[in-house]
Amino acid sequence: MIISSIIITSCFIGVIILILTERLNRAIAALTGATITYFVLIFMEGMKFSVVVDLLFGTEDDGFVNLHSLILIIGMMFIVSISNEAGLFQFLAIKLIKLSKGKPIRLMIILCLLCVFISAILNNILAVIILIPLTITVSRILNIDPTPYILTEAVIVNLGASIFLISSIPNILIATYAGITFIEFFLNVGLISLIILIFTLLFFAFLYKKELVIPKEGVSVLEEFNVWNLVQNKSLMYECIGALSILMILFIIIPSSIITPDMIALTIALFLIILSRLEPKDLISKIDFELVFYLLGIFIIAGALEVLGLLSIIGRELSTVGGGDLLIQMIFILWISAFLSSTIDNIPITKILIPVIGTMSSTGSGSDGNQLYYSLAIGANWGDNLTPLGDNILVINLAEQNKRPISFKLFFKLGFFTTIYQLAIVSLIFVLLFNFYLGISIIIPILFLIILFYIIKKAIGKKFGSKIENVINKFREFIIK
Amino acid sequence: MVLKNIQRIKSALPEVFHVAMFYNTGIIFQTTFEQNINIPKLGENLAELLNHVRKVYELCDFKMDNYRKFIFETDDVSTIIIKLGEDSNLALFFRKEEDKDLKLTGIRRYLNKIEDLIDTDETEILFFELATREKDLKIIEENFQQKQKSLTDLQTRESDKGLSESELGDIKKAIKNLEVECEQLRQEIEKKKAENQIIIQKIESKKKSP
Repeated sequence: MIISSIIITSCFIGVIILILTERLNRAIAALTGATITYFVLIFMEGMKFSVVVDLLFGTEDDGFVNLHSLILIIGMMFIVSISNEAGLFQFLAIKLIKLSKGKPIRLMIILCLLCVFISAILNNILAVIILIPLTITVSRILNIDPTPYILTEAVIVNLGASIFLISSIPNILIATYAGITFIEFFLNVGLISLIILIFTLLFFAFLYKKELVIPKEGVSVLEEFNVWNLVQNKSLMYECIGALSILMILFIIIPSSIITPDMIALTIALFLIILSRLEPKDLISKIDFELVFYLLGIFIIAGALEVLGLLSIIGRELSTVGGGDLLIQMIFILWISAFLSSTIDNIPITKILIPVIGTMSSTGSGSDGNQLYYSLAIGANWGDNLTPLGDNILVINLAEQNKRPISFKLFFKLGFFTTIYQLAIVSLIFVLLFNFYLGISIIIPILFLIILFYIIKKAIGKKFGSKIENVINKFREFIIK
Repeated sequence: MVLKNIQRIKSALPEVFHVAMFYNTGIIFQTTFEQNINIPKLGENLAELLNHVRKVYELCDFKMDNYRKFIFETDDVSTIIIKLGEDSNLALFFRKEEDKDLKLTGIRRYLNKIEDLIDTDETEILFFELATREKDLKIIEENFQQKQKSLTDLQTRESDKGLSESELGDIKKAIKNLEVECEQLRQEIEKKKAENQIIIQKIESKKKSP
C-alpha cells in the first residue's frame, strides 16, 4: 500500500510538472499518469478492472459524481459553442462598449463587467478569446493603448468563474461531489464574487483614473461600427438567448433530486443543436476533447489516491489546523487553494482537495455544511492570477497575435496585487460572517485611519495631503507602470 | 465619416458593387453587403484568405514584410483586397467589365482617410503617449524652476543681517524644505526624461522594422 501510494503520488506530481513545463500535452500527460495508476492498482494492489470504471465515472454510493460532472461539462460545451457561433456575446459586447461614449473609466468598467458576465455564462477562456480581440479592435478605432483594458479584463475574468455553478470546471467538480445546488452555490459563492467585483472595479478605477484618455474623434468613428456585422444569424442569436435563459431558470427551479443539472444542460444543448440546424459534425469537432481526456486522467489518479487512503490522512491532519476552528480552516483553505492554483492547474488541485475537505468537514472542523467547499471554490478560481502562468499565457498570446503585446511584468504586478486584495477582502467577509465582533474590530480601525487621513488633510492643508498623495501615486505607478 | 468615404470610393469607381472593411481578426467594421449575407463568416474567410497566402509565401520561402493588394479575378466578379492600416484591410468587389483596367490610384486618399479612422498604428499610440508625457514633464520643469527661484530668493534673504532669530529659523526651515522638494523634482525630471527616451527609442525601432 505504501509503495503504491508513493508511486501514484509521484505520478501525480510528474503530471503536474509535465503540464507546468509544457513538456507534454496535458491530456496525454494525465492519461499516461492514469495508465501507470491502472497498472499499480491492478498488479500491485490486486484490484479488479471495475475499480477503474468506478474511478472514471463514480459509484452508486457517491452518486456517480464524475459521470455527472462530465455530462454537465459536455452539455455546457455544446451550448457555449453554439452561442459563440451565433455571435451573441460579440454583439452584446460592442453594443455595450458603444454606451461608454468615450469615457475611459466607464469603458473599462463596461469591459470588465462584460468579461465577468461572459465568463459566468460561458467560461473564462472563451471570455478572453471573445473580448481581447474586440478590445484591441475598439482601441484601434478609438486611437488608444489597449494595455490597461486588456490587463484589467484578464485579471477580473476569474471573478466570473465563481459566480455560477456552471461557470468553471472546479465549481462543477465541487458542487457535484458535495451535492451543492445551483442556487446554493450562487448565494454562497456567487454573491461574494459580486461583492468583490465591486471592490475590484473601485481598485481599478483608483489605479487607472489618471492614466486613461480617449481622443474624441475616435468615439464618433466607433458609433459607425455596425454591431450586426458580428451576428451570423439573427434567429440563431435569439434561440441562444432563449436557450440560455431557460437553462438558468431550470437550474434555479428544478431541484437536483428530481433532475440533475447535467441532464438539464444536456437536454437544452440537444434542443439547441436541433433548432440551430448547424452541422452536428462541426459542433462535435468544436468540443474540447483534450479537456475531457485530461479530466478522465485526473479522475483516475486523484481517485486512486483517495482509494489508497492518502487523501483521508491529509484531510485528518489538516482538520487540526487552527484547533479545528471553522473560520480559520475556511481562511486556510481559501489562501492555500489560491496559492496552489496559481502555479498548478486548478482542476487537479480541486480534484485532490475535494476529498481532503470531505475528511476535514467530517472530522471536527465544526462545519455543519459546505463552507469549506465554498472557500475552495473561491480560492481555486481566483488564485490563477497570482502568477501570469497557466490560462493567463493565453491572454499574453492573444495580445501578441493582435500586434498589441503586453508586458509579462505588468500582468504579474496587477494580477498579484489584485488577487491579494481580493483574498484579503473575502477573508474579512468570512470573519464578519463567522465572528462578527472580531470582524468589526478589524474594520473600525481601518475606517478610522481613512477618516483621520481626510480630517488631517482638510485641517492641515495641502502640504500633508500632497505628501500622502505622493506615496499613493508611487504605489499606483508601481503597479501599473 | 467612414461611410462617407465608402460612398466616395463607390462614386469614384462605379464598377465597385460591394465594399467590406475588415480586420485581420475577421471582424468586419463596415460593409455594403446586406444582413442576409453571413457577414461574420465573410470576414472570417477574407481574413483566412490573407492568412493562407501568407502561409504560401512562407512555404515558398518568399520574403513578405507586408502585402499591398490581393487580386482574384473570375468571369463575373473580381475581388481586390487592399491593405489599409497595421491590421485592417478593404475588400472591393467589382462587376467584371471587359477590357477595363482598374485604376486604384484615384481612391488612394479615401483609403488613407479610412485607415486613419479605423486603425491606429502602434507608433501613433507611442507618439500620443510621448506628447502627453512631454506635457507632464513641462509642468514638472516649470514647477522645478519656480521652486528654484523661491529657493534663491530665500537664500538671498537669509544673508540679510537685520533678521530676527525666529525669522532666520523660519527661513532656514523653508530653505531646507525647498531643497528637499527641488531634489525630488530634479530626480522626477530625470526619471521622466529617461522614460521618454525609452519611448523615443521604441518609436525609432518601430520605424526601422517593417
